[in-house]
Amino acid sequence: MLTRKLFFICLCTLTAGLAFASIDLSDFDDELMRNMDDAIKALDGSIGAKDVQASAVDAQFIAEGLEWAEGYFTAKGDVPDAVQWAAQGREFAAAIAAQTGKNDFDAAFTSYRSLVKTCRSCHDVYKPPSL
Amino acid sequence: MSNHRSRREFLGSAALGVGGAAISSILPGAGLLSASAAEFDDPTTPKQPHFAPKAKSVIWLHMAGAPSSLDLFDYKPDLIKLHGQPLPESFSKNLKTATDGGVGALLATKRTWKQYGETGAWVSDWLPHLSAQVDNIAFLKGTKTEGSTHVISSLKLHTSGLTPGRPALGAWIQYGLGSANPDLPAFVVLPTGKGSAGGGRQATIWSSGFLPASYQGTAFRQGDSPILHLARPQVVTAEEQRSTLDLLRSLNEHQAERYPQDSELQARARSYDLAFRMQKTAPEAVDLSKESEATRKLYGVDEHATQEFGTALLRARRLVERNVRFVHAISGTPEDSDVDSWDAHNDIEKNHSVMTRSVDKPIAGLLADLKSRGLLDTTLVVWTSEFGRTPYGQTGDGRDHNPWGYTTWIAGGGIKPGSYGATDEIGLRAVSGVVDTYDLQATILHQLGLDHSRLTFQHLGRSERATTVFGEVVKEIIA
Repeated sequence: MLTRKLFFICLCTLTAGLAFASIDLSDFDDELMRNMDDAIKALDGSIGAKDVQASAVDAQFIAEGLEWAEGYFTAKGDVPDAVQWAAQGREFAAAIAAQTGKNDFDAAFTSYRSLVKTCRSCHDVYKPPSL
Repeated sequence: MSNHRSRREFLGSAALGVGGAAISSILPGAGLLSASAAEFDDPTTPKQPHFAPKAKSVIWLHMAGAPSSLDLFDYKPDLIKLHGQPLPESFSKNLKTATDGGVGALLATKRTWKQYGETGAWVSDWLPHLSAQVDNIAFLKGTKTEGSTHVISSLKLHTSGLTPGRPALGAWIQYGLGSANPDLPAFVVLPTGKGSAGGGRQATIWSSGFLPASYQGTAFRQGDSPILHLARPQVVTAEEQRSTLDLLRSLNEHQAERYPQDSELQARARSYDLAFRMQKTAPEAVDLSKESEATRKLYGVDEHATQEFGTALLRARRLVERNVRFVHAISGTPEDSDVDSWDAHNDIEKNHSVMTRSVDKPIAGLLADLKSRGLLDTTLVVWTSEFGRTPYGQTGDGRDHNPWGYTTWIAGGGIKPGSYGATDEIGLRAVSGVVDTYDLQATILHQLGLDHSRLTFQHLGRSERATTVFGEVVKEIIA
């Protein structure tokens, strides 16, 4: 029984991550993504607080990051879904900046929900799996 | 190292040093509910929901270890046809795996299947009692999550985080609604079986996280003394204990007058009072001797295979009857069984026959009992797990972890029975009606009258929510 368990554990270790091939994202800027993750969370609060300046800063940071991601995936080639998600996300971030600038925080929150959904769609496919 | 400016630098250059951290507790919409740890927030008093609720309580059935939807609810004729063949690439494209134990050949279920009730829900022969209850149930057949280990995915299911430190859903609900019974904890955990403290089942999944500690789940033990150290020591008389507590209270009140902002002192004084009241109320709440023979039989309380989980679920019904907000029951198996959870990496036939036998009758009994007492209308019963299991085999006769597509179900509490969503033809991935754990939490909060986007708590300068930045209410299943 113990031998079977040990065999199984070894098998799990050896095959971890090998089962399904994916595109090579080893040169992706993970630090930027972590910072964007922080910015997404902060933007939620900035919109909630009806803070025009903070919302604009957070939205701009996210838009710049997504612009980089769009370029990255375009250069990779053959990942049109990732390129499209990055572009859509950038548009939502720009919309948030514009809407908060007009003090339309309800619309900004709707755009924010769309932005988050877009991020999630891309992460479902391209973000490295959590263990 | 990133070539980009960090967010800190970005905020600094924007001359807004405070950035997103300087946020108030206000979120879009009226009726906001927000606090911070520095403010005293009495957990024993009821609070107003954001809108009229459909449900008052939740019984959360956590099938620890991950049952196979493909052998219980998700009937896949194509998987049976493809049995023994390698996983087709069309199904595995872009599938992300981490700690999988290899991808074996497709493994057909050995169960026999039938459609039941007016809703025509498919249920396997492993659940003969539950099959009679399908017309009370909304099956979410396109559930998905993240992670591929029990601990990580269990954390996500219960706390929406992939690392420890966030509050469990039960804690958020108590924070949002307070207690409807000042004599009992609002969030009770009922672990069962020898494996109930194992991977993905430990206290981090009923933690209060960054919410005040008073919101954490209270784990009840089996037996007639449900809370450890609650009973008065035999050498202390009731009168002696009362006078000790009265003295303690007067000293605390004296101190509180000097330090009116000290929320911890107020919380501690209230916890002494709650503990005193619970000496009487907690044992009574779980005293099954007050139940009829027919009711005990309904839950399988007197049968060996179902005794533990049946006892837990009958206790759960008694607790929601007493207005406990959230009861988290965790599946386990009898001490003398060599199966300790649903984690069937090998010999799924043996594992799931033991596990289904231990939960089928108690769960069906719970639904029938709640309905007959008129409690199902106001009680959400949620059957879920950290993930499901793969259509491909492992070790020849087992299935691996599957976070990409599995079944969760909800009954009662204003939920419309039927089937919502689907996995692909072999049951590997959710392809329609996709419901992530964030969405499940948002939906439960909604039925309790709480808007997940407005239930917030200030932590480290950030407005935190139960569902983090995600979550959509699954409107299609709301009656």
